Amino acid sequence: MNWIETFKSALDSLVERRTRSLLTMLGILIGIAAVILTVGLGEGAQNKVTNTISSLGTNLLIITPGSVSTSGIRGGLGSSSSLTLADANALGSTVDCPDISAVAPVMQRGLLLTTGSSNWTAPVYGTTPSYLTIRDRQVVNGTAFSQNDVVTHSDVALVGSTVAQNLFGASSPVGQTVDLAGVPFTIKGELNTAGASGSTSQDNTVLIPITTAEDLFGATGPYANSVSNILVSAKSSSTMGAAYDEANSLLLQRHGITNPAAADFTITPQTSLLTTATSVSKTLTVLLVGIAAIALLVGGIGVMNIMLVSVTERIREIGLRKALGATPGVILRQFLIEATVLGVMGGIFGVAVGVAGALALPHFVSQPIAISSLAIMGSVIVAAGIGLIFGVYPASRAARLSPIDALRSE
Amino acid sequence: MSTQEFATPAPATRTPLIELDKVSKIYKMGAVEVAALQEICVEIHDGEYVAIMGQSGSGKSTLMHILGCLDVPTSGAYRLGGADVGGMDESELAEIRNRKIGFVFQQFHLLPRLPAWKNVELPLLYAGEKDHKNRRRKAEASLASVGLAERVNHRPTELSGGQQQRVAIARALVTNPSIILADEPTGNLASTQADEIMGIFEALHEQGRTVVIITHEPDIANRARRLVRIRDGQVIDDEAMSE
Repeated sequence: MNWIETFKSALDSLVERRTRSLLTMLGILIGIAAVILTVGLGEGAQNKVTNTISSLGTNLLIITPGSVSTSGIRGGLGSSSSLTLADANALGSTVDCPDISAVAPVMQRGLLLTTGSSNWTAPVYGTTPSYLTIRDRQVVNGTAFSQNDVVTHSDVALVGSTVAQNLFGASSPVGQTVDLAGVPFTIKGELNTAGASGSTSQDNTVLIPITTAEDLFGATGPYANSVSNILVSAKSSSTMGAAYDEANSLLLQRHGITNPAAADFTITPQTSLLTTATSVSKTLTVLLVGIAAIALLVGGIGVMNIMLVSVTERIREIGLRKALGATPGVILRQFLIEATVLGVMGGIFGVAVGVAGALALPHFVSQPIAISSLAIMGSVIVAAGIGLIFGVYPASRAARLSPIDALRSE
Repeated sequence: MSTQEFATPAPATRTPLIELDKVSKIYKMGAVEVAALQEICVEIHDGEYVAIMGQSGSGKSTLMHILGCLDVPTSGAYRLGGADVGGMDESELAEIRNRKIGFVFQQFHLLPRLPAWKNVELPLLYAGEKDHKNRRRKAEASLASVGLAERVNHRPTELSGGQQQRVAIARALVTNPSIILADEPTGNLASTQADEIMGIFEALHEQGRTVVIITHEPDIANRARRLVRIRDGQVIDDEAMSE
């Protein structure tokens, strides 16, 4: 009996017991559909996180004041104001830091903004024009402030779309005047819409020259010239490590700290955030796939169970086939094919249901989902494998049956 | 088909078709050993029509299993067409059953969902006959030879008991085996149908086939040309019968 004949015979037998075959397939179907959906959700979440973080700039190092360990008393400045504009200027040196392409010191305060008719509170960032490059922001309306504005302490501002809308409604903010802490500023431009970074909206923001911010925020005494953080951009993602080392050793030297563990600043590479976020969503995917794998295992046991029932039920048929000349190999093949066909069919239907679910899901919940072709191909192969593996035991039982006992049983 | 006379056993110098040489079969029931067959010696030649008769428990079913290569002897030799069956594995036995033996069972053992011709086709599938049309042609010819040319597409449930047993005989004949081995072939049939079936065996014998019938009914056994009586696992009588 060749493969085609065996295959036909196996199909006939599955069609004969179609209700049961369909129910058995259902187990595999649910498992495979679950795999497609969970892998899709995991990949979707991962893509979203990666895109969000990449949009912040992947070459970015954020230097924040404060030490990793706040215990003990230090002779220097307070840990919350250990970074200064001078530090930022030093980092901009191509001699000391050849792998750093741009530096933007940032001073930040939340301030009340007022116009003649309305008011709004938003974070105000004092910074330099490099900020726009490093953060990958564009001025879509009007122009950016220049280095000259920084030097001359100009009272000019760039506003995000949320601020513009709340202060001026639909009309253009460019050229309008806004009061920050009582000082009138001319709005030079409006920033592009960038969405949220973490929990902070990047559109609810006001940028002013850092020198103006110094005057405005009125920092004096020990806090004079201290900045909220310094953004540093490496020349490329491959020189992130070098840029990190250069910034670290320069700042340690400038702050007179010999023990790197006692540093009064923290450098956070954006990639480490990306890596962390990616690994979190990977862990999530692994968890979901684990659950789906359990579903598949249950489906596989279902196949084994039903095949064992089938062997018991067809014991006389098996005996007769053996008496008529079926070798143990032929019987083994027939039952293995039946189990594998159950697996493959369940897998194909499962992929169909999974893909349909993945296409339908975005209409119901705002969760990104990716349809992974790897998951689809993998699923069908896994389903076939499950049928085959869980079919081995029932099939070998059938093949080992003695024809006499099989014929005799009533 | 040949019209040769086979009424008497062929000369002893010829190799017998079936040769049982001191065949014993011992079953172990826990610690107790039960000898179902004890050193049985029987020779059956090509073209013979033999009835093996015995009461239930006499060992005739065990003998039938061994003759049919469904089981192997515990000791002794069983030679079928000169080849020793004793040392064969499951696959080799399956091939012998397929090529050399045509079974007819008391319960017919037809597959209920397959039409008559597909039931008859089964041994050809296992024989590796690849051509689908050829298989169907042979199956239909075999059904025609037992008078069921009009019933090839009927399922067993649509046929009478006698017709079902004729499908089973057609299935036994389809591979043109050396022996037709029938185990209580009329046991489940009414007497008129039983007569019909015995008529078919008679005709097969007249065509030169070797027919071995296992039965406990003297009426059936008496229609054969040779009667082998079994009791307690031993041959107690072996006689040629008049026509």
